[in-house]
Amino acid sequence: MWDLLKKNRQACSQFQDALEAAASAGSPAATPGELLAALPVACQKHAASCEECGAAVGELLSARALLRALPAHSKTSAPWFARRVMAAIAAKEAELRRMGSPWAAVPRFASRLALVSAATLLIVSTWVYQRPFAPPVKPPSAEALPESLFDSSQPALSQDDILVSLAERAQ
Amino acid sequence: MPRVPKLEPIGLPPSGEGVPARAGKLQEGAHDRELVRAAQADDKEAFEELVRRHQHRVMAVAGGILRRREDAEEIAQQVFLKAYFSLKRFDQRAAFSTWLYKITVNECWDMLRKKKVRPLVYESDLSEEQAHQVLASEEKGSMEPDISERLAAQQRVERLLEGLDERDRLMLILKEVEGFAIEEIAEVVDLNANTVKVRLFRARRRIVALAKKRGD
Repeated sequence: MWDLLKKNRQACSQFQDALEAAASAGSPAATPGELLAALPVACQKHAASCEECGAAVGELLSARALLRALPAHSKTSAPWFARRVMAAIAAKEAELRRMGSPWAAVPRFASRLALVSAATLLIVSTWVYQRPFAPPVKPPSAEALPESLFDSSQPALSQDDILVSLAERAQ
Repeated sequence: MPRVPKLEPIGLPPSGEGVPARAGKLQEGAHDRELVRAAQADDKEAFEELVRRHQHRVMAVAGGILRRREDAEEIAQQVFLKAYFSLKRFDQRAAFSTWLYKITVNECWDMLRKKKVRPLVYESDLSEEQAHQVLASEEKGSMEPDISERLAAQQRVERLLEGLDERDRLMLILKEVEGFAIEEIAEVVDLNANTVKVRLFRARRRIVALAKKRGD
């Protein structure tokens, strides 16, 4: 029983291969009869005995007829497509080169830089505004200056004083 | 640095899955490896060549998930940008295309998550191109096949596709609309080829049943 089933499966598989090959052949068959005639005799016999395989011939042609309504994308690809791809590659490479330069970081962080600057300005201006008012410091007057150790109590001698004192000494 | 010779962009997948197709795929893989090595050594022309070679596939996968051309284009550009800036970390253990598909699928799911919409095109959600088509067809009169009928049919199918699991829907679109091979779909959805085949069969059965049920 198992052998019979296995044998049937093999025959079905061979039939499917033959059908696929015949369907892909140069001149497409229009009717199930034509397609069956293009198959080897053993496959024709199998189609007559196996209901599923017999129906597969008609199904293949019907499915093909249905799908004929769809456009084939492989046939419609534009002739300039390769050029467009190469141009896109060149643009991407240029972008990657730009990203590699140190200045590329500036626009990336521009928004954050603006935020940080605004925050700094706000903090500094708040601090300046709220700082307690200190009166302007007056320059110290001559009387108020503390006496230095080196300061003499005697007023500084003028040249005339020196001359007078020398004359007094000579007397 | 020697310039890598320009290669023809990959066209749509070969119809058969035979030996010549597989040999061609191996050759393409080898060219890709060469171009990736050159691009990893800062050869921009090599990367541009890689973009040219894979843009159709990436657009197809993105379009399969997002279902809007504008979104698919935007995602495709993002995918190549991402690939360019992580190319030095790509160790070439997997094929370049596989790596690119993974980025595409992840970017698409991210976009859908961000937009929080299901990948469905509604009447009010016509792309710029579709709007131009509608206007142009209105100007031309009834000589051209009716664009509004075509758009209505497209929307009907989009609605039917909504009834499928997201992965099954992507597989079905990649196979039947974009013309991917089973192995390529397996790379995109990260499943093995046999599982993809079985799931495709089931998805076809389901969409046909839904269409019958809705009378389309």
